[in-house]
Amino acid sequence: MTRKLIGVVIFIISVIFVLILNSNIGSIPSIGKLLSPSHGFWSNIDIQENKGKQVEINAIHGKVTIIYDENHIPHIFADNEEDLYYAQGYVMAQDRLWQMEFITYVASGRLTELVGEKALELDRYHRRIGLKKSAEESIALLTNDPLTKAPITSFTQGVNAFIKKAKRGYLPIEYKLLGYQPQEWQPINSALLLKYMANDLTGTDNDIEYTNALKKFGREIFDILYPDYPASPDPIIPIGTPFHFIPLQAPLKPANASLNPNEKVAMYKNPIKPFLPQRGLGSNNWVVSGSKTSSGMPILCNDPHLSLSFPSIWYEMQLNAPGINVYGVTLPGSPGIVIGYNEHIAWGVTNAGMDVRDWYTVETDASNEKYLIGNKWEIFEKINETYKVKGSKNHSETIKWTKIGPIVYDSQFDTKRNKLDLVMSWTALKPSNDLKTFLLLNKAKNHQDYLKALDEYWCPGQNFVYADLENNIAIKEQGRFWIRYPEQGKFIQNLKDANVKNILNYFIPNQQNPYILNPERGFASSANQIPVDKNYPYYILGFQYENYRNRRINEVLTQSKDITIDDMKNLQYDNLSIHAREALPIMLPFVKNTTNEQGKEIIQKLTKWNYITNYDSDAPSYFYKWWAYFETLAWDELKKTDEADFIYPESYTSINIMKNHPNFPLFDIEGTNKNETLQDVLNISFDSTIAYFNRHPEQKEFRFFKNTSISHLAQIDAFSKKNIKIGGYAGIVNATSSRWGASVRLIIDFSNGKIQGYGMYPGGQSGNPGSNAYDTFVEAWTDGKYYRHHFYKNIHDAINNLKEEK
Amino acid sequence: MKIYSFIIQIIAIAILSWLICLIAPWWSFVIIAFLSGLIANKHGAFSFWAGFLGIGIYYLTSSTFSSKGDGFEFVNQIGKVLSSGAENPISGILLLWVGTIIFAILGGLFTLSGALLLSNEPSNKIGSGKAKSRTKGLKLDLKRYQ
Repeated sequence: MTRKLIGVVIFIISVIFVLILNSNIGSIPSIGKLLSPSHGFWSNIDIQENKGKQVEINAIHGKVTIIYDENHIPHIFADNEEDLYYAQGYVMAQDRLWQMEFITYVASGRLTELVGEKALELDRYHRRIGLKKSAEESIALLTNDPLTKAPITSFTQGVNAFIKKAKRGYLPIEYKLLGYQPQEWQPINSALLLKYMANDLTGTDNDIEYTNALKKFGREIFDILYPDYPASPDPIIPIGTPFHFIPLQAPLKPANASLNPNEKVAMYKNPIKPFLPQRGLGSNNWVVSGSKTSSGMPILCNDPHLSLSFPSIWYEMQLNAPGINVYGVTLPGSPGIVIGYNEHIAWGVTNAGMDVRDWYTVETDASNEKYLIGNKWEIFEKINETYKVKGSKNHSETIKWTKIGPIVYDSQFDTKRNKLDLVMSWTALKPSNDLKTFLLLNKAKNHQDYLKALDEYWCPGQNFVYADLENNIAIKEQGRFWIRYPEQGKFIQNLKDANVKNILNYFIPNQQNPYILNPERGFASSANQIPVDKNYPYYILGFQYENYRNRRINEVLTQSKDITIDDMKNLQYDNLSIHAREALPIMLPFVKNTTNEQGKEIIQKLTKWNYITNYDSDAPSYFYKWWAYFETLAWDELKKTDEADFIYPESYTSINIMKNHPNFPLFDIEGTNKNETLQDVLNISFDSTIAYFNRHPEQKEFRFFKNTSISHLAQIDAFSKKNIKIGGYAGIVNATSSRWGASVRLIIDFSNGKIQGYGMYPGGQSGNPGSNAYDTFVEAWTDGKYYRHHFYKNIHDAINNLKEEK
Repeated sequence: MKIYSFIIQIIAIAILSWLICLIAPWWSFVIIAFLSGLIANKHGAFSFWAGFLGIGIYYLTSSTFSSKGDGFEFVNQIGKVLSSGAENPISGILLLWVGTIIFAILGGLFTLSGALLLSNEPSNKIGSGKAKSRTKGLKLDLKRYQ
């Protein structure tokens, strides 16, 4: 009897032990599950040889064959499109499920459910800017259009088929570490992903900063700091190109549009600006026509610069079914291919950089239920939002919507704010079916198809570069861009003076967006610069126009002839800094009299420097550190404070000011008795640079100075890579800074009457850190190597080729 | 002969635990351990060690087999994650042993409780002296309850 009792006691203790090991305690996941050899991290180790691996899955109508090549790139062969997109969803989820779902948590403002209170402000920001609401409205469009309905529905089914399987055995490691399970995939997740990208690429503007600067410094200084056109622009559409169309009338500027200097609206603090790209980063694409290549046929290149992260932003694959055969990279979570080529054409994208987000002050009535718009009182639409917070109680709030967009900042969200609230109008909030563009491009056969596909595209505005087997090349900046009166949207506006119709529906017609077909110079290119010169009949406002990479690409392409694939590889890895080339000749003479020995040495190195920013040289570290100190001192009046947001001028504008306005009043340093000049500012910042490298001698080598890292999306250091040996920086064609860089490099060659792609990206096909395909490409990406794409005509071609290679 | 049945029990626990965990939750191996205790109904100490070794073998072989391709590289990364940025992170090998011991103890306890719950006299008397000396390590003096 006693023996039995002891047995019962041991049994109960053991069961309690199991229950404890099975529970998530606070942020600690289930230890039992995590340690389990069959369910825990051990089961995420996935080392295998993929070449020629053939998998068959049962899709909606029948079997689909997936063949993996040596890079773990799936080539999907289906008998119909529904099965094709089903398999795409399945295969993508198999490699990237956690990433796909995590991004939808971010976009829909639900991160608190996974990581608790620390994500609350970010979640609130994402809900307050309306990403979820616009995704919900967009999915209605996507599922009502026959062209996108089937792909999105089949894709969803495929993802869910994998989730079902994964829950039985295999789940990505992040679920285990964060202690949660994947939820059923919904079509809206794909729409959320596209809106997330819209936020990533257009969710920024300078309205608040410009308003503050104009109020603080006045018009004359403002115009020197923030001109609409760079001093020496090199736009996408070459200077002097005529525009043969009759433009629509710009809206009339409201009488009260100018700022009242006494109004206490200016000094807003913009509390959260997540994921903002560093300046000088964006993307490059170009296409050279047969007249400039050694083969006599076009070559198209594209390297979009995005945040460097694990799992990689892109997933590479081939989709093949009757009526479609396309190869390229795509965003995990959405059907189709975003950048790539088919048997007839190729296309690539860069961000347009057009300002499509405006802010308005709003007047409300005493009850706070109504607001004044276009001099009429309207009632707010109220949306209640509840945030489930892991390990804490729920948080709720009501977000007020006007006809043109939500109140993002008010006393609820930014407690330092005075009573004036800010309404946001943003083209990304309009429901749109941008996916349709990509699905149409995937099947496009010619230049007309390309233009037709682009007609469907809204946001984020992109520069779509194009080439085909007929030797045509083209580029078009496409998106919905407001027709504005000059400076409309550059500053905070008053909602009471706004014209609702203009804000909601007055856009530059698609056929009048910047576009060029077969340009005379034999190439077309874009690098986030201003798209047009002043001949363009519409007012153009960008939030951040590049003016170095574009000029470097254009100078190289202009000088080149008989271009080969290797030339294009070299250009994608070009490390020349025009920034340094233009700034140093102005800066160095000011410090030539330094008596400091180290200073003399630095001057000598910078004087001899060829402006190439290789990872192992020290001159770039000296230059960029000196530049950073110079900006901090010269533009000390533009330092962000708790009361006000400011922004530095673009560095090319700073160079222009040094050159053409050497006595610019802002060179004076605030809070000193002396009236500092450019000479003083450059000398003080130079001395700081010397001192900095005395303190941090290890950072003289450029790679340690910039510390290029690829970080895991959930910021798990062990799954990240640091101090990558790669040159380049912001404003350089090889735009690799600390966190940003070429998220993929693609070169697509049209020689010999067929299309051949080459590519490389900083990561790997698998999102699983335990897989040998997680970071396969990082080293080759760093070294400037490319792999050759396998673009098969059909399944027999794939099998035969793989046999031959074996 | 009886030592063979002890070894067979260990191997059976290891294989069946591996099999059940392929289809059932991570903790399902404790069912195997418990049932084997009930069925084999050995001397308490033997039961404990049968469960301990059986599950230990399941853990060691299964996890070592999983990481054979990458030489513990991934498990070392997991050690770093679990050490949350400590200067000397937990190594993969340490994780392997921590996992093995936790799982093996669970296995031992469930097999033991299975054996004890069945009130019949234990069928295994052989080597009871050895068993006695082995049980010294355990806080529980099993001999008293026979």
